[in-house]
Amino acid sequence: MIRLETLAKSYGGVHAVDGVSLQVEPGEFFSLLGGSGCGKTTLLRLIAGLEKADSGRIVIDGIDMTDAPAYERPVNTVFQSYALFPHMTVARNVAFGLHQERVERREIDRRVDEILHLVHLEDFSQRKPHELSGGQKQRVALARALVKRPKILLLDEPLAALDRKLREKTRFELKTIQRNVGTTFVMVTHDQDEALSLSSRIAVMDAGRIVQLGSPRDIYYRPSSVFVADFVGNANWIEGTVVAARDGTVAVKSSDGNGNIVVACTDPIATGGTVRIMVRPERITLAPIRPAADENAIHGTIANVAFLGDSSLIEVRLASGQSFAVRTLDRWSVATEVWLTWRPNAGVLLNR
Amino acid sequence: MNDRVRRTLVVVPPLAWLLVFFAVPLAIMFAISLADPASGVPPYTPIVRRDVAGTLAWMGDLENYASVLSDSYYARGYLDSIQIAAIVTLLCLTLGFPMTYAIARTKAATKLVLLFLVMLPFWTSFLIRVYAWIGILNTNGYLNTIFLAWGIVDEPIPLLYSEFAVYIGLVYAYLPFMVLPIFAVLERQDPALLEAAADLGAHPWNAFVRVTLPLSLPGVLAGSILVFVPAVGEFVIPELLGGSDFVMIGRLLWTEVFANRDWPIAAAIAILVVAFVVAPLALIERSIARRQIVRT
Amino acid sequence: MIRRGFSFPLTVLAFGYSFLYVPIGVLVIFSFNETRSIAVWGGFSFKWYAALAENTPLLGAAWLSLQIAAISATAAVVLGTLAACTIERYRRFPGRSLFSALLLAPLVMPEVITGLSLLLLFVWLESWLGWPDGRGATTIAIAHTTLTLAYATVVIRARLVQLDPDLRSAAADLGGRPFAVFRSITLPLLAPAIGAAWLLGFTLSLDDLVIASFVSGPGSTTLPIAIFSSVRLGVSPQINALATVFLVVVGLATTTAGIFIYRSVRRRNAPH
Repeated sequence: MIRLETLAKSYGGVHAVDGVSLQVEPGEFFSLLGGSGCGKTTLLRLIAGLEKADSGRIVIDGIDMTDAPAYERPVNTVFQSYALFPHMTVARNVAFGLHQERVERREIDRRVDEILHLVHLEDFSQRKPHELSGGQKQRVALARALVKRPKILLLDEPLAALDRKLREKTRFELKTIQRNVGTTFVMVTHDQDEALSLSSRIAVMDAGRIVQLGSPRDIYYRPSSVFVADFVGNANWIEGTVVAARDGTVAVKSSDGNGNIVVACTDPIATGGTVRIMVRPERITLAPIRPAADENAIHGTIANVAFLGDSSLIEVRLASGQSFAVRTLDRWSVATEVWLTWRPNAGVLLNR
Repeated sequence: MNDRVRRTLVVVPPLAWLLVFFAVPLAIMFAISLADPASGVPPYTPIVRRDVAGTLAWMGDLENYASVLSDSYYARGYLDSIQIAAIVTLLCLTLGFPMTYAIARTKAATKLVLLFLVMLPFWTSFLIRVYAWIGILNTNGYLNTIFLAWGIVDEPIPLLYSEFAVYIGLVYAYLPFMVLPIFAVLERQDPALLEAAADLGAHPWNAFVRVTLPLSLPGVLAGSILVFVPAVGEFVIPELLGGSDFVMIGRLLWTEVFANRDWPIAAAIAILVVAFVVAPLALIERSIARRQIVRT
Repeated sequence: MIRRGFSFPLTVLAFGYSFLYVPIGVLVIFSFNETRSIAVWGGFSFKWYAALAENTPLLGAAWLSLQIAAISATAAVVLGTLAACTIERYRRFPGRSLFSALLLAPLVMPEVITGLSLLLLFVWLESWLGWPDGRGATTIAIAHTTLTLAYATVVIRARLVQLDPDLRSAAADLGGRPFAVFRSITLPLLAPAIGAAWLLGFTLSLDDLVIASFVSGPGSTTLPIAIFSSVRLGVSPQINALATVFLVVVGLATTTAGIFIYRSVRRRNAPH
C-alpha cells in the first residue's frame, strides 16, 4: 500500500506537483491520467525516489520513504524509453537488480528464467537490446522491474512507444500479467483509452493537482468538471439556465435556442444558475422524426460523416450553428435532416 | 557515503587541477608582468618586497606594458601575427569550405573515409608535417629540383625562409581545424532543404547561396576561430619555415624567454595576447556553442 | 545526364588531398634514399633506418616521450571523466561557470602562453615550496595533463550527453548504489569515448614541442625537442626515416581505431 500526503515539487517556481494526496491499495491497477506537463511523470518519479519532494510525505507499506534514495525503495519502474542497458544481454539486464540485492547466483538464474518465461522471452535471453523489436524491449523492461518482486510497479507510459496494433494487444497482456503476479501497478499515461481499459481506479491530473479520482466508469460517465469531461472522451456541450429542479431531474433552458433539456441530477441545485450539460456521442440516437416526449430532442442537419469501420462518427449542424458529434452504427448521408435524442440520464450536469 | 561527500570527490580533483595548473599560472604571469627583469634565479624582481622598516612595499609597475606598446618592434610583431593569422584563416576557408562541401555531398561510406583522411595528418606529428615542407621548399629541395629539371627556372629560387613558406605551413597545419566544424554543420543540414528550394524554383547556385551558406555560418565562424587563435601564437612554423627576420608573437615571446631571459616582458606580451585576442574570441566561440545547443 | 571529363567537387577534392598527402608521400619516399639528399633520388636503401636504430639519444628521447604521453593521457582521462560528469550532472554548485571556462580555456590558449605561464608557476613554486626540484619529466607530464585534460573532457562529455539519463535512473531504481551504477552502467558506456580521449591525449602529448620546451630541464629531452634541434641544424634522411616509422605506427593505430568506431556506430544504427 502506498500513501501520498500533500506531496509537492516545483522547478524554478513552477509547481509540477502541487499538494497531491492519495492512497493506492494493494493489488490495484492505478492510473495517473493527464496531458503533457500536468505533473504525472514527476509524481511517478517522486514515488520512485528519482526526484526529491519539496514537501509532503510518501509512505510505502507503513514506512516513511520520503527521503529514502531510489535504490532503497521497494518500488521498481518501467521507463517510457525502457532504459534497457545497451551493453548487456536481456538476461543480464533482467539480472541487474538481483545482483544489486546480492541474491545468490543460482537463485538469480532461476528467477530470471521464470520471469522471461512469463513475458514469453525465454528464447531471447542472450540477445542485446538493439536486436529486439519495440514490443520485446517493452517486455524486457517489464521483466527487469518485476523480477525484483517490488511492492509497487511504476509504469511511465509503458505502451506509448508501440504502434497501434501492438499497443492494443499488449494492453491485454499487461492486464493478464498484473493479475498473475498480483503486484500493485501505478501507471502514468496521457492516453484515456489505456487508462479506461486497464485501471481499477484513475486519477485525472491537471496543473500538478488531482482533479478527479474514481473508477473508469465514474470518470467517463460522471466527470466532476468540464476539464475531465473534455479530456476523457469526446463531449457535446449545451449551455443554459436552470428553470426547474424536482424528482431527481433538472430542466435547463438552452441559451443557444435548443429548447429545454432535461437531465438527471440528484444534487440539490438552485434555479436561475448557469450550467453546462455534457452528452457523450455514443449516448445520442439519430432519428428521422421527432421521438417520444420523455426524451430530449434537438433538430439538426448532417454536415459530415466519417466512417470508422466499426462505427461512424457523424457531425450534425444544429439550428444554433453549433456542431454535435454522434457515434452510430447506422448509415446516414450528408444533408439529411435529423433529430438528436437522448434520455435524461445520459446527460451530465456540470456547473464548472 | 552521503551525497555531498560523493559530489565533492567528483568535483574537486579536476577543478583543483585546473585552478592550480591553469588559473594560478595565469595569475602569476600577470604578477610577473608587473615586475622587472633581474639577472639571477628567478630572473625577475619580486613584486612585493619588505623594505628596511620591515613593511611590505608594492614594487610592481606597468613599465613592461609601456615598452611593449611603444616599441615598434613589438607592435610590428603583433600586427604581423594578426594579419598573417587572418590571411591564413581566409586561405583555410577558401580551400576548406569547397573541400568540406564536396566531402559532405558524397555517399555516406565515402564521406567517413574522406573525413578520416583529412584528420589522419592531424594525428601524425605536427613537427614532422612542418619538416616535410622544409624538404620540399629547400633551395636544394624537391620543388627546386623539379623546377630545374623541367627548365622552369635556371637557378634554385629561395622558397624556404619566406613569408610564402610560412603561409603554406600554417594552412597545411590548420586546414583540418577548418574542415571539421564546417563538416559538422553541413552534415546536420537536412538535404530536404535543398530539395525544397529546388522545388520552389531556386537554381542550385541560388539555393547554395541562400540556404546552404547562411546555415553553415556557425561552422565557418567556429572553424575560423579554431584556425585564427593558434595561428596568432604559432611558434614552430615561423621558426622553421620563416626567415630569421620574420617576427610573430610566438617567436617574440620565445626569444624573450630563452635568448634574452627577460621573463617579465615575455609575460606582458602574453597577457596582452590573452586580453585582446584569446579572451574576446573565446567569448564569441562560447556564444556560438551555446546558441547551437539551444537550437538542437 | 551529360558526362563530363571533370567536375568541380572532384577537382577540389583532388587538390585538397594532394596538398595534404603529397608532402607526406615525398617525405616517406626519401627516407629510403641511398644518398643524403632528400630531393634527388639516389637509389633504394634502408641505411637511414639502420642509423636510426643506433641513434641512442633519439631513442632515449622517444622512450621518455612515450612514458610522459602514457602518464599524462591516463591522468587526463581520469580527471576528464570526473570533469565531464561534473559539468553534465551537477547543474548548480559554487564556481560552476568558472569551472566550465577553465575547461575550455586551454583549448584556445596559444601554446607559447600556456607554456610560459606553467614555467612561471614551477619557478615560483620552487622558490616558495622547494618543489618541483628543477624541471624535467614530472613538470612536462603535469603540463601535458593540463593541456590534454581539456580535450579529454570534450570527447568524454560528447558521449555523456548522448547517454539516456533514464539509464542511470533505471539502475538506481533497480537498487544500484551510486558507485555500482557508475561502475556497471556509466563507465562501460563511456569506455569507447574514454579510449578515444586517451589516444587523443597520448598523441597530443607525444607531439608537443612548445609547452614541453618551456617546462623541460636538462636531461629531459623529449622526442619533439630532439627532432626540433636536429631539424634546426638541417635536414637529414634519418629524420625522414623516423617520420615514416611514426606515420606507419600512428596510421595503423588510428585506422584500426577508426574502423572499430565505424563498425560500432554502424551496428548501433542498424535497423531492426
